[in-house]
Amino acid sequence: MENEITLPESEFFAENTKITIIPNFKHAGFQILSGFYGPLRPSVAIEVPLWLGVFLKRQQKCRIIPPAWMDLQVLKDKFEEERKKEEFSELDFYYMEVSSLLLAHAKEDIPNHVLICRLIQDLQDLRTSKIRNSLQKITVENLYANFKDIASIELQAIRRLLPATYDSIDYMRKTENND
Amino acid sequence: MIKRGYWDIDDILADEEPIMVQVTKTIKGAGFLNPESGELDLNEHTRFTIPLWLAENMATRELAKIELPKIFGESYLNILEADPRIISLKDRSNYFFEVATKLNDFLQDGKFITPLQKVFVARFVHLYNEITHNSDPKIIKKLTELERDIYEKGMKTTREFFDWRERKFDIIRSAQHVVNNAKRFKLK
Repeated sequence: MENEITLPESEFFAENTKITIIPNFKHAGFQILSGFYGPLRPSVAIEVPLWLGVFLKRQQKCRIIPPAWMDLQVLKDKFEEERKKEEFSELDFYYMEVSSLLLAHAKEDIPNHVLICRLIQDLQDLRTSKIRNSLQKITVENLYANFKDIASIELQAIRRLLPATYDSIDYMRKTENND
Repeated sequence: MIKRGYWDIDDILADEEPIMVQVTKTIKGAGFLNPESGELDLNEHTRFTIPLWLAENMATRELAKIELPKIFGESYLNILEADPRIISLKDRSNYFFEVATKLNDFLQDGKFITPLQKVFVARFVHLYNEITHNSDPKIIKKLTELERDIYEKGMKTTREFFDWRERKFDIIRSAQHVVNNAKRFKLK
């Protein structure tokens, strides 16, 4: 199990996405591995990695501007689209991780955060049931399901199961082709 | 997943599954292989069970003939195909699919492996449904080693997801083996 990605690790990768913050302090800037972020001036928006934004937010040193898709209307539209479509609709690859982090640490910066939290959970439930439904349909003749636009969190849910299953079937098939 | 390798424990255990063979040539002094007979030699036409690895070796030397186990016979396959989901494969063999693959590889008899793939996929689909609905853990009794591995991975993922959603990972906790060690020292 040690060589598998866990959910906290997947969140760690998500923390590298960029987010806009409005600092309330002055600083020459941060030289970190992914680049130089700065200079920071009070009430001037700047893009930083998510982890840095959350770190500053927890010290009350900035205000976080939520990403564009984390808006009540946008999410409602997405939800409707998701319900009508057979396949997955396009979403941020790390939408669950980013929203979970922001809702945990920067609630007050997100308008309608209660509704948004609920909508994202509904959206996620909907997408999970979509995965379930498409997996219910697989047979030996038609082994593969279409998971285009699947998000990180949903990928984690099946990545331990599906490859192992497919490998086993392939293994059985190999001996079949011998004769 | 099915693995094959010198060091793979599941591969070794699958090789231990008993297989019925029929001796085709009398083997002098090999009576100990079949202690029930009490004879010194292993006589021609004797039927007895030996582990799969030995059966394969005897068959390659043309000393014995492997009989296809009943569990891969037509009547058993028909029952399996009728409803693959509820049948306990563990009762038949804990390494059902592994043994089937090995036998198929050895006997070059592709009759039973194709329906078994169907059974495996049908059972996986059912299993996935059970995992996501957090169902009765009694199902584990019906699973072979291969399926149990999939089931446990799935349950672990589900548990991990709920823990993550409630942000339980934000709190730094001691690793499980440290906790277990502490318990052990307390007992002393």
